[in-house]
Amino acid sequence: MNSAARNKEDVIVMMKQYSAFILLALMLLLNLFITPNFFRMGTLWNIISQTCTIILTGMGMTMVISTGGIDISVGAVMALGGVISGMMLDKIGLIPAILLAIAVCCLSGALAGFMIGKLKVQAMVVTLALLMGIRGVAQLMNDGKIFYIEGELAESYKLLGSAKIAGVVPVQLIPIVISVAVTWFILEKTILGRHIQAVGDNPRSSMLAGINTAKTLMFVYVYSAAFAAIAGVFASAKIGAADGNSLGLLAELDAIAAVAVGGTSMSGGRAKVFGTVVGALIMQLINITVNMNNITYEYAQIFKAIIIVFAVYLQREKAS
Amino acid sequence: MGRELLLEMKGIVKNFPGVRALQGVNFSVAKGEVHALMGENGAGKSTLIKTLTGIYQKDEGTIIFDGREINPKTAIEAQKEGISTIYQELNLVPFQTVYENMYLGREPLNKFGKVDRKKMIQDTEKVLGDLGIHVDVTAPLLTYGTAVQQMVAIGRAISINAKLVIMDESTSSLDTKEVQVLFDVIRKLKAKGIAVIFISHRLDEIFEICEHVTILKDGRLSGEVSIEEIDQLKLISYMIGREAKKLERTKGEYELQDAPELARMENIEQGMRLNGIGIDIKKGEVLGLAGLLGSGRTELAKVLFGATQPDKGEVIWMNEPVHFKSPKNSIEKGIGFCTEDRKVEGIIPHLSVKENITIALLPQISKFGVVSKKKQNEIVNEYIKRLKIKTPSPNQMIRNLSGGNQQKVLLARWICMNPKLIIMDEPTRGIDVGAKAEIETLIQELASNGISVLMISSELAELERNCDRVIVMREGKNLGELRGLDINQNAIMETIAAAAGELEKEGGLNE
Amino acid sequence: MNKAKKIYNWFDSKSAIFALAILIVFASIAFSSRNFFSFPSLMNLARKGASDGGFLALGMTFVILIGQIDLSVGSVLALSGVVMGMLGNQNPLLGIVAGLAVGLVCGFVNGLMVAKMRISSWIATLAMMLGIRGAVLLISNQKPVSISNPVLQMIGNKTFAGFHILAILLVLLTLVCMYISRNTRLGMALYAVGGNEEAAKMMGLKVVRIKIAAFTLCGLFASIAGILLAARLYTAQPNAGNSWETTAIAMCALGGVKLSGGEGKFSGTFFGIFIITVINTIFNYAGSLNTWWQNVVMGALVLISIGVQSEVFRSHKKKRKGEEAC
Repeated sequence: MNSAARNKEDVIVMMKQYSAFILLALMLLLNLFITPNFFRMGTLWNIISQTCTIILTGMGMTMVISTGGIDISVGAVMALGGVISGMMLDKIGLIPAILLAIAVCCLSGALAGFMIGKLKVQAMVVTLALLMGIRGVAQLMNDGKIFYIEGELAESYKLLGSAKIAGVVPVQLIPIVISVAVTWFILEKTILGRHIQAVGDNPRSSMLAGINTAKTLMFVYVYSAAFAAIAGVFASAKIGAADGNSLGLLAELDAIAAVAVGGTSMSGGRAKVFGTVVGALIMQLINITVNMNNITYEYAQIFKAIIIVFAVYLQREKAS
Repeated sequence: MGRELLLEMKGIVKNFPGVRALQGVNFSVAKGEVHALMGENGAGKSTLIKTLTGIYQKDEGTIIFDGREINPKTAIEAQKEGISTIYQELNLVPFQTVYENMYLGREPLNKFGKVDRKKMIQDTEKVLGDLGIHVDVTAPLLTYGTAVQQMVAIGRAISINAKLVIMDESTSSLDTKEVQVLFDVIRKLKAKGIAVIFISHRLDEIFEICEHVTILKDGRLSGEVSIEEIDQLKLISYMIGREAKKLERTKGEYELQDAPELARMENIEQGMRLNGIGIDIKKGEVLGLAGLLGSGRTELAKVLFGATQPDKGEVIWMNEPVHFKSPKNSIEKGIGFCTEDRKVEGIIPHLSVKENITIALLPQISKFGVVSKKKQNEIVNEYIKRLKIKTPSPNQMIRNLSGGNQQKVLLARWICMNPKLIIMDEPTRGIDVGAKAEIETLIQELASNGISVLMISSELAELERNCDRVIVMREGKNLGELRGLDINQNAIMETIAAAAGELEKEGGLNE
Repeated sequence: MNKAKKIYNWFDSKSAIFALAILIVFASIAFSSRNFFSFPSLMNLARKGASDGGFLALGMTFVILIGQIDLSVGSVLALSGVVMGMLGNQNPLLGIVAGLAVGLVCGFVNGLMVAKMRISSWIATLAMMLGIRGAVLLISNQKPVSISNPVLQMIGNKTFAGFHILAILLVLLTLVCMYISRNTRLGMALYAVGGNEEAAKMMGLKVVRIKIAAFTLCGLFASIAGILLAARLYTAQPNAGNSWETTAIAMCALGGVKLSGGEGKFSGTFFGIFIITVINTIFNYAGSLNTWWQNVVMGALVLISIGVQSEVFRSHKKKRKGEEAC
């Protein structure tokens, strides 16, 4: 490859690296101009609290996509997590209910990890089936009816959704910061993180370098399910209810888009954790822009779908 | 010679970025002739065929086929001219029946526009019958073995009026009887005036069925002779024969007779590639594995490394029998493997030089699963220096490095583990002379530090220069070994050639 | 593992019969108070199969045969119904044509994305699924469109001598699909592309066109489903068909159409439709279990069938040496 060509490639690579930030900046600018009341502190804190779900699921999704896979069941798992923790709250207590929710969802993740890692079934297919099945289980738990969180522990639970630290900072900041920190740490600093990215980049070389691909895959899918469960808990706490039907609906769309826009390659390899955070913010901004300007939500959906296709298409060009 | 030419390729040049695959090659095939095309990996035979069949476009040169100049731009165009290829990975549809495969894309229709299955069945039976093959054509193709599947592919070629049939390693997965059936079919093709280009590395088969041979080496024509005028040894020398020696052998007599044994493999069998072979490696030895393409060297190495499992046989490591179920096991015992195909099985392309070097070492430089950046950087810097890896920084993506430097990174991956044995499969392929010399020096250094090296190479000069001992392989068997000063290119080639007679006596390949 | 493989093989070859047997037993128990095999109840099953997404499964079969998937069928179903509703009340013919056009166009776009732009069919049709659903909600303003034209209503509800029109159409279309797959060049090409795309290309098949054709047909069948559903219910719901794509996939998978492509028959899909419909019926009648179970069972069924179809369990089919005579 001669140096002129390499320089051009470098520029393109750099642009792609920072494209997420550029996009975010553009969106902020756009809102500054067209959305009334955008840059009030209240709005900004709102954005942060609302991105909680996308960031949590996005962290799990970053790991999964980094291994070259995908998990479209995260929305359903969110629902299951929220429903279990909401309904078991009164029966076994706050912390045990949350832990139970996470544990059950991890089972779903383990099933996915097994089928994808050991049986080598396509990730899309497995998580599609799980999407159906888990959503059904979530709906089943209360006969398809919304479960209103009431009772003695209800207030403490709802705090998870509405509390403000020092009266100003939304409590969601905590899970956001922790999840990003943990995910970043694992991916950047640990052996497991290196294995995850290697497996996604070249599974054959990874195997020959002594990496246990099945174990690595199992981990990421359980991780994704666990974080989705936590997202579900916080989401249900925020609205004070657990609805198996609507909780987390299409959340996978936001998560995948966040990861794709954030720069992690959809075919696997290098994971860009902070890129996903930026991508999540962009997704949330899309939601808000659409909301605060009285545009119907469906436009947002269409737009996000286009973004995903575009991001995938762009990356195809790069690979070939 | 009176050969009426069907195909004449003149001055074919084909370049790829960084590689000059074909440098002005001439190749011609006569009408109704069975012509062998031979050469080691990288010699250019597959590139030559692909320019003929329209998969690649030649950069220079002319192709004259059946009296006209042609320049096929797609595989279909070449087929229309009358050139058909029977691939090793058969390009047929396994779930569909024999007759469906025969007529795919050109199914005959009856007068109502409906696909005429009856006609397809009848015609298929006829075509195959002409070749001497009588099978139930209504069965799915996959219920038949490779041999019959190939017949179907050949039958299809005939029924679309091929004048030239190219058989690419067609006998690799056939047993003795099936090979004979294939040869009978080839004779029938010949009788119909259809020429055959027979690509193979099995010398005995070439001598049995082919009339004329063309040998390519390093992108050039190395030799073109009629089969009557040549013997096995001469043929082998055309393929891997002497080249100007740039570096001298520094080793002397064999001195490791009393060294402790490190590993031993006994009676290894695997599919058709390994047929009861055994080798042994001593501590601190540089052991070479010599042989032609298809002799099973890489397969043997993969069994030792645990990447594949043998059907039968034993592996003994440091005097204890072991069963390596995956590379993880063998790596733990102290084995490293530098694979032949860097791109596919070696590098992790988008990760950095640093990460590629340390990927297998991580458990040793981590505590509680967390990698120590400090130790990682130390090791990486040490090996970049030691192996003289040219890279702007350790964080550079490995895919941006040149081939030679990528190879060094992969070597560093294993050397930094302080292994007991490193297997190197074609370690200097595609690398410039300077880097080659550096790697060879490195190999000697390792050996003198007590690390054994198992070196697989097709470059005889390389084996001659570097090895304490060379084991010669052919068709998955151990033909014998050469030690110390006995190692030279002629001796290796003679060993390979002499085995033809022996394998014949064992009833191996001929009747 | 060898024993497991042997058991699986036996099961696989007999699975269709097994499934049928189990279901008959199951059903007759559930229906102990009614005569299961009576004509009215079988007719109900056929009609139900048609309206539960049978047509979707037929269309999906084309796409699965070439080794791809179409997740947008549910959304296309809804959009077709709504478009027909909005245009058809004045002019039924226009409504129907428009509805079918929706399916053709959406299918064509899917085909383009997959075959020309080489985007994975999972991603492309997932995006379409979401985008089209958004479009439906937009166009209809999230309100159902009522079907008031009597012609349209008849199309969804007429019976001929006891045969419901939907049941007839389902059987008819299955026969048409069987003919296409077995007796036309397109059909042969579908199996070839699904079985070994490289080989199909080498043999001169126009792979891109074949893929586009498969997706277009799938879209067409989705629109047929949407039109008939709206006609039958007298109303086009913007939420119609939500998550029906998984049901369609389950029907195909259970009918022996392998998700890896190149294997399976339309008669199998018909059988799969039958099985799923029976399951749905059982759930509807066994009062204490509710409809949410359907999702769970559907998901589990798909998981099981794809797990079992996976490479790990695939036995090496017995190689039969040809009886060659030299």
